[in-house]
Amino acid sequence: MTAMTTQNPVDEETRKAFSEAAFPHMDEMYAAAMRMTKNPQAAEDLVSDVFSKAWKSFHQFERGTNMRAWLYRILTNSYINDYRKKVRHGVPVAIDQYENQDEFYIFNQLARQPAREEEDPAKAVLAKFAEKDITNAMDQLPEGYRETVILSDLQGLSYEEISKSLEIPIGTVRSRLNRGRRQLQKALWDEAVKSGYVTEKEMTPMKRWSFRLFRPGGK
Amino acid sequence: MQSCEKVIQSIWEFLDRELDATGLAELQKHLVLCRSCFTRVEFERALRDNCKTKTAHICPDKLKLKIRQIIELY
Repeated sequence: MTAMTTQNPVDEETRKAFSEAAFPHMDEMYAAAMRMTKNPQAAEDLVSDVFSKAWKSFHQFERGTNMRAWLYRILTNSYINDYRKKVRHGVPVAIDQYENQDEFYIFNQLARQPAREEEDPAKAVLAKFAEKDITNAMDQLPEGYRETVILSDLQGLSYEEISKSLEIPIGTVRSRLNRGRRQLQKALWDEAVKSGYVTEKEMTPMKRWSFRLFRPGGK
Repeated sequence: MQSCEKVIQSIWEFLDRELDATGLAELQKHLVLCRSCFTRVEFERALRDNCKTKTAHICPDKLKLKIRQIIELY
């Protein structure tokens, strides 16, 4: 057990302050841990570690400042240092090839699909995606990129909060999101093709503005 | 009116809520008038929400209890 000689004896006020500030973030931390580790047991261990570390260093936390960002920093550091090597399953694909790839790959691919019966074919395709498809696609992103996209797209953190959590400049947050999302779009599309949600066989030449997909009732 | 090309460049920033007030106003003005960009933005929004919803998990009660006990230990 770590000696806490520099810390004042823990009093009820401190416990109360910590529980009020940190406990409301339990669900969010667990959701993030599950998205990163994809494993309930690992997520449980990771979240326990986060709150344990946060409690131990609460005396260093400046009250009134952003607790959420502080917890995310502990979470991502713990994930990167202790868990990432153990839980990665997919083989990351090199990201450089995605630099010039279409940003809105899925939307543009869907615009080339043959006309369908459904009122909203795009929505129909999205509905077919299962959790596994999304995590498989995410797994292809290299380290760093994957965490950045998770924090932004799935956890809803601001660029500033991501920057603080991952301890990288905001410019790096932006460029990782830019490349990471391009790769994610391509990977999600490939999962959709693999799972049979879409077919690449019948694609028509790309129409410039294809409204057919989004026009209810064929207006 | 802002060009579609300019709007498309700012879609992700828009969805990230990182556009400044001017950029936001310009984009929203454009979306009211441009069906094509509107459908594109709505799709990207739906795609992101879909990924978020499908990968969402609630913290189990057992774990919440365990965490509450952490601060009692020392």
